Amino acid sequence: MFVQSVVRARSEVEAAWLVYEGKPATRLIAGGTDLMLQLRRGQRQALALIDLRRSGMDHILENEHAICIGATATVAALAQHPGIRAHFPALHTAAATLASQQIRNLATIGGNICNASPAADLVTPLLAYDAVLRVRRGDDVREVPVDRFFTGPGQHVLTQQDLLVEVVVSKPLPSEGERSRFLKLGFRGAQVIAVVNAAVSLRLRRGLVAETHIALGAVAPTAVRAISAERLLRGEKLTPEAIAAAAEAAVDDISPIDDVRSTAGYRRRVVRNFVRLALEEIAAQVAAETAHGSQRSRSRA
Amino acid sequence: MAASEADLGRSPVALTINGRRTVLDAAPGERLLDALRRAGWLDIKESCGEGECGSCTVLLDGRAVCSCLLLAQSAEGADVVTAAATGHRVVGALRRAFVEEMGTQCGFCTPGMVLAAADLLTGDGDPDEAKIRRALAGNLCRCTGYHRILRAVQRAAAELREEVQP
Repeated sequence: MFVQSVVRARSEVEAAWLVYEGKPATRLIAGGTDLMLQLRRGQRQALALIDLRRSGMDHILENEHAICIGATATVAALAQHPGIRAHFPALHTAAATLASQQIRNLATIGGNICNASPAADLVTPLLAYDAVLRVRRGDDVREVPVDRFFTGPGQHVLTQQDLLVEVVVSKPLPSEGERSRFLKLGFRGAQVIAVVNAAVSLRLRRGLVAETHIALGAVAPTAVRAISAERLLRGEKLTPEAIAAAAEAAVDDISPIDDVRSTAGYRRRVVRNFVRLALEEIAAQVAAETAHGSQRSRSRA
Repeated sequence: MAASEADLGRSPVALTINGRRTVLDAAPGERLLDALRRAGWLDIKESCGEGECGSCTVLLDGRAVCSCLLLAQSAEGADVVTAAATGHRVVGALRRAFVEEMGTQCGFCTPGMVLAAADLLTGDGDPDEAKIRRALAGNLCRCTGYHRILRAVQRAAAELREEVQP
């Protein structure tokens, strides 16, 4: 099956209606970094493509409460955005270390999500930050929480008529003291699909864990939250014992397999170590900030 | 004979290549890489064809991209720069520096290296070694061991900085 036509969408509205009225075997293309290979390898088929590159959906808008990222914003644009760096460091790190500069300049956040790889680097941070996906069908827009978007490897809840238009990440209040981390293991520091990736966000209130999201990639049919590890941490102090218990519990929250990149057993070990490492780094950051803060108040006194 | 992708009707794609307005003919599913090479831009190389090696890098509206992953039709209206560009300050300085530092052996990866480095130096005139290595992480060279490539990029960056400061 060869691609027989390409239609270039010039606006979000035009893209949404092209998708809504699209014939069978029509696919969306944005960066193309996954789809072009899948088409060549025969892993996915398309007779017609709707090209979103110039659809004007590549905005990154920041306001007081949230950052709204257009579906065709490139991974490079995410990595360069100062607001994302300041408020969502795990998303920043995931974007800045994804593949290579040539891929980051093409690949889009919408593509990374809709390709629905269980190893997608941007998805674990979006899970850790409770991102909301705005989906358009014709003129109707609905919101889908990212943790209800994926249904399996390469599969999600969108129908042929739906278009992902925007990703919304809500900013934590400064008083919520949120910290977060992204960790990725691959065979080298660039150009790799993750053996495991992890994103952890954590909020402390009066020294106790008020909320935490632990998201893990490439260890289940979709990226998953380590629910039982999170439950163990809530209400606790971030002690070495609490961290070790959470890391152990996270292993029960995943269902890894053996594949070309690694084995299930190794992935379990990495998950245990990643959860521990991320939480230790956050605990160290909190300790450093507290020490710095008390030093400052002493010098002011 | 079996139908092939090339038999499908090609349509014109108007774009700028190295400062010249050009119209490429491209089949609907065709890669920019193929359309460019057919039009005679043979300085763009194909090695892996999967976005891993960086040989087919071009600058698309100023940013380095793999032309093997880009639909030719998507490049409509774009400004494409290849390593053969004349009158491109950064690409020119890099090309000279690769010669002076002998940053090339078989030469197949060189155009991609030059353009990935051009993307970096356009945004950052004084990158440290780690930044240069990161910027070139998507380009594979099987001859040089990268050391002379690194030196070439550092030399070009220094030359460009001198040009700016009279």
